[in-house]
Amino acid sequence: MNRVTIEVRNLDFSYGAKPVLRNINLCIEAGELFAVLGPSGSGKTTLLRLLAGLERPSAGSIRINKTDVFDIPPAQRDVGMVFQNFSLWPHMSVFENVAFGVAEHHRNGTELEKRVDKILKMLDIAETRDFRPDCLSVGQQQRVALARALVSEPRLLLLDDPFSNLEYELRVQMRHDLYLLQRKLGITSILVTHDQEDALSIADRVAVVAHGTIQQVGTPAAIYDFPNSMEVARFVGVTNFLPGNVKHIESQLIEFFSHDIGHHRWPISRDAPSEGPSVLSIRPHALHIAPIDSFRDGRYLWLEGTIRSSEFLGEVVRYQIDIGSVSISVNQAHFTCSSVTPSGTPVLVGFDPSRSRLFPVSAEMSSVSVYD
Amino acid sequence: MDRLAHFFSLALLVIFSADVLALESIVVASSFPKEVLVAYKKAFDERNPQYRLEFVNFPGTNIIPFLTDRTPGSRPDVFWSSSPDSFRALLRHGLLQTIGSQGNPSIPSKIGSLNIDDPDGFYKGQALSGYGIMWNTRYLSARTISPPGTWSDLVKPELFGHVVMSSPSRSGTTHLIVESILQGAGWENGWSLIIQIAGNCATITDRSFDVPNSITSGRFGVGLVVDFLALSGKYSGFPVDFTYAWPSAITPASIGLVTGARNSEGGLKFITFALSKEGQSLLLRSEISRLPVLPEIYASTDRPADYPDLFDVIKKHPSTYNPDISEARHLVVNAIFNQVVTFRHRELVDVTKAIQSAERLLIKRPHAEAGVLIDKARALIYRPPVSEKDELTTSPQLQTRAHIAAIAAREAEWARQTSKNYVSAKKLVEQALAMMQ
Amino acid sequence: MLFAFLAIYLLTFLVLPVGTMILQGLTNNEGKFVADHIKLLLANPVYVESLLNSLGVAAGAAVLSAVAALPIAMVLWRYHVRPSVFIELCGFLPLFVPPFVLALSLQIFFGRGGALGMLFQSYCDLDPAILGLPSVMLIEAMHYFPLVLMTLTMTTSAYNQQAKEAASLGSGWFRLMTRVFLPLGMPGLAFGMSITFLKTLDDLATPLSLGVTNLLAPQAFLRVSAYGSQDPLSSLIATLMVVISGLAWFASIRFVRQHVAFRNASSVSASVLLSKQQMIVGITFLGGILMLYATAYAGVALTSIARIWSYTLLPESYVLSHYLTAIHSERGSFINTLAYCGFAAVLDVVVGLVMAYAIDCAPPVWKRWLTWGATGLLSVPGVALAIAYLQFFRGIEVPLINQAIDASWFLLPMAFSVRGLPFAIRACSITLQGIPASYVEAANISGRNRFRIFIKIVLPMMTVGLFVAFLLCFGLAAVDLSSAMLLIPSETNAPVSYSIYLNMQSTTGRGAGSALAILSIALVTLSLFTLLVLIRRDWKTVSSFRKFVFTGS
Repeated sequence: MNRVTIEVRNLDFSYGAKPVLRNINLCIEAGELFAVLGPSGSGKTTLLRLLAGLERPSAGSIRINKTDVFDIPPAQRDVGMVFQNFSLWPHMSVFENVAFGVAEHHRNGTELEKRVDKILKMLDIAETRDFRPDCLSVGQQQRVALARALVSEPRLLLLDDPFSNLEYELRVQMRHDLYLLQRKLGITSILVTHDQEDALSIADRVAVVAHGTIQQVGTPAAIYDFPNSMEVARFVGVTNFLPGNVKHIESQLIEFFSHDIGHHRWPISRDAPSEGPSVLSIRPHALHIAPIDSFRDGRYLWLEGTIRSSEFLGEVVRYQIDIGSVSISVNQAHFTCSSVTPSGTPVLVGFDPSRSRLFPVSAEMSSVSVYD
Repeated sequence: MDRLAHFFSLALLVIFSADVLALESIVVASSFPKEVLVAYKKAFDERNPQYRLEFVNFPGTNIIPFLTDRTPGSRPDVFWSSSPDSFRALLRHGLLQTIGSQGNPSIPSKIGSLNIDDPDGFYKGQALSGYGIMWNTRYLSARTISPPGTWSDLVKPELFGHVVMSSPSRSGTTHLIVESILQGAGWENGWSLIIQIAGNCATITDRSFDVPNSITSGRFGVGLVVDFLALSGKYSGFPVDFTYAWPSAITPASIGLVTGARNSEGGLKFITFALSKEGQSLLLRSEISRLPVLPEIYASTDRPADYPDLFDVIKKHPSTYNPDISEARHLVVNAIFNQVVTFRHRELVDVTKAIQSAERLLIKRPHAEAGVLIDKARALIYRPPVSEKDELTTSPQLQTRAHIAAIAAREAEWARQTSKNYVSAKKLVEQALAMMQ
Repeated sequence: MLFAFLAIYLLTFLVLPVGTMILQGLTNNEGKFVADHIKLLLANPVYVESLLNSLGVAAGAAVLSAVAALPIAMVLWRYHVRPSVFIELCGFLPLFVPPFVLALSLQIFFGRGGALGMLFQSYCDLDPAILGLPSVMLIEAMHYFPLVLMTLTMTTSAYNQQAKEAASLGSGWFRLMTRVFLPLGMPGLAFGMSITFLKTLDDLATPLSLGVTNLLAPQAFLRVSAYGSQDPLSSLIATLMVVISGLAWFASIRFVRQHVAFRNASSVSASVLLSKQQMIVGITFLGGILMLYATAYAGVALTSIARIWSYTLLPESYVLSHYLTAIHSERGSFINTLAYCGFAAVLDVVVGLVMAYAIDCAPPVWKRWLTWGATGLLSVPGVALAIAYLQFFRGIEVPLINQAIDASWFLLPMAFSVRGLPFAIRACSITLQGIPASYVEAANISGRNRFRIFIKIVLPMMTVGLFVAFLLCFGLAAVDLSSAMLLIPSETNAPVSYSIYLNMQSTTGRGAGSALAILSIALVTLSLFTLLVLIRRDWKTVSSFRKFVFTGS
């Protein structure tokens, strides 16, 4: 199977006057499992449809293996696609559904059957061969959709939110299977999803899309740990945002001021954030709680607050803690028999400044609430 | 899916096969009821498998627009109807081909004073029809009404609401009845009689065969019909009876070949069949019950004992009917009937009822002035809106748009006048009633 | 290509004929616009009266059926009795059975000749023909009442469970009726009423069989049959009918365009155990209605098995041979019906599909106009269309078979198809919407050609929808006597409904005619039932079928 690279340059797409995608630049390596992560309406599905050839770009180019595919219709792009709702043709059996995807020159009798049976077997759905799609479980339907996409041995596999219809257990199972399959076949694959877990768990690299533009491209860990914008930070994982103001004190020291938490200074190691209105972003698990009168470890910055409420989530207890006029979430690991601190208890909340991120706030953004 | 495809192909097959067969078909335009057509079709198709007989059924009065609306080559082949006017009109419009002496030589061309065939050989008599009154014996005896003997009996007050007739514009036979009354009793008296009868009618039916239908079923008691429609009911076992009425018309139901026929040869074949002994004997079937024109049929075939005899009927009811007069004023008579009776039937019935009850009261309490008022009311409504000498009735014209518009203008005039007359007549009767109280 | 075909079809069989007809009424022989004919029309009080009568009878029938349906629908709603889907479908029977059958049946049953009419004749004359105009109105109202009732219950039943709960929580029933029931039912009511209005206005056979002539449709018909298609007044009358229908239709759209709520499929299929009270209400009302119609059609039913029935309470002797006669001798008209209506319905489905596709693809501004135009086709009455055809196709010859087009059977199915088109477009667009784009895209990606995709994927997925559309158009065409009475070129070319009309009015034919009517009604009910079984498998289609009724939703 030949592996393909994909290069997307300055891609624009709009429905009528409404821009959907703006200035998309992507480079997908051969054999990569690439995820496109974004909220609904961000344009991620459109990007997939452009790659499949179901839509035509308004501007820019798409190259598959260095060949511009602008004029190539979907059928000749040699792609396989799994649709969000699977789109299995209800009037055909599993076999017929899959067989319909086999290209014309492979359609002579026994070869067709062999081919279809092989892929059904590979995906572990050989026994459903003669069933109609509506007799299958959701998991089986997904496998059929995958089989249909893969049967003609495409160069590129496109998956449009394939796990969104699945229950959690099955979802974990399916994405693991997909990962193994992709690794086995080595086919360049693009997975579009709104679920960060899907993207982060199996993708080699992730592109976060919002408002029709690519916000950040990187490995899952990089995206999670070092989001380059508030948008990405908000979308990937759960984050607390504290608005305030940044001032450079020295070359290696900044001061963050907020009405709610007061003045805090800490050294910075990497590129310095810009001065002015900023938002401090800390993930809930980077915060920890200590009794109000306990020793304040100097490695951490300490804030004083009061527990407002708590949610028991099993692995962790998530506290909502009021600090000044803001409320932040804090995850505390839970172990057998450890107790939940009751509401109303005054506590210290500590964090390591190096595990926080500072994002500049533009004038327009400062007016909107950032506490979500 | 397969079933659907199968069905579509079947439907297409039917459509196309119908069309292929149509090339071999003989189309007969006729005003006859279905039973007649079905019997002839069956007999003819059996005898002539190379043809397929088809019928166009519509009132004979509408034949002219039907034919002129169609170009030669797409018209029916044969016209077969009991309306002599229609044949006259066809002749005048040049819509008949001559048949000459073809047909059945055993059929006399003249019986008594009655011409059976067209002297110029354009059409042939195929059966005889007489016109008269049909009644339901149970219906009348339940109401102790004695059966009427002739047209003028139908205006009697005790028959109010029990009579039924069709409209001459929708039924050739009704047109003939109206015309024979007009010619026999004169224009003014004739119309007076017709409008009075219509005033006694419960309803004016759309099709002529609905008249015998509603009498055989007992919906209404008495009707104005052509003999065979009544006789077929009688011989099918319904409690109905029939009498020929005076002034009457015994007219031949004729058959002719249409100019511009698609299949003249086939048409002629059917005409010959209809005149043959076999075709003639079909007429005696109980569901048809017509009078054949071939004399030997009466002698040879067994028929019901009281089945009318052709020659007997002609002798008893000397016809005064002149189809030329009738044809010349055909449209006008229809239009008058529609404007005065059909479209104004409720008012007519209303006033008739009022006049009849006023007259009943007048007998109990004689009152000279009131009598004058009632007579005035009668004179207002029981009369034609135009005189016989009107140019519309005397100078027939071809049916053109201009002529139709001219008639429409006159129709509007009659309609307005009639409306007014009914209102004034009603007032006069009310005045008369007030006087008698 | 497809769109060119569509344009030619619409031009030839709708726009040009109707346009010519309108011109005929407004111009003189030289083609100049003149008001002469309008003056002629207004000069004759009969036509003015016919116009008023037509408006009155049609509006009266619509109002009457609504007045009868509203309280019953309210009671059913109040006790939240849901008629089964089959009964709901039966509410659509009036669309597939010609109303004159009811008129003739009532004449038999309430006329003086037998049954109830004979029983009561010493007290009052029940014969519908004696009443005249009001009985046309009553019969049409009675005929279309089930349609109005069912559209009303269908639009309101979505919320009757919630209404019951709301009522138990303290909202008064009166308040619920005025605030919830009426607004919800408005689109259904408007649809039912406008269909009643349009069909009554267009009906030819019912008034004629009752001896009523002072209505627009019979006047136009009588004039055309007496004077031929060149008669300018009949063109004018037909034009008038088009205008009235158009206005009525667009007036009703105002109501129908609001959102219609349907109860979802799952709540339909869930078998609900009715309480005793509900059973009683349901049986009383629905059973009562059923009894009423059974009585009304008893006239036809009895006649179909009567040998001699003349002025006796019930037939003297019974016989089943009428059914044999009907089947035997009317085979031709059954085949004709199958051929014309089948042809018309196939054409409708094809044209409807193309139209629906065109509307789907059109820019939004056009979309609205196209949709309006398509449903506006509903407002071309059959009589008017037939007159337009007779004028437009007069003497035009078909080259190959060398026959005038108006002498062939060809015009009839074309008229049927134009009349059925708005329904077909609606049904097809629902069917099209039933196929998500991704199903086609998935096929596109697979690399098969467009034709194969259409044949293998799109068409099979539309089968049920298209079949519903086909049946609908077929049924509508089968009862369209108004155009048939003017357009059939020969008796042997007559469809079943015309044969019933002719036969039922003759002494020897009425048994067979009645048998034919009963057979046809049974056949329609049977096909409705088949339809139900067919779409039971696919509840999505049922909801679409409901959606179909409400054009604007």
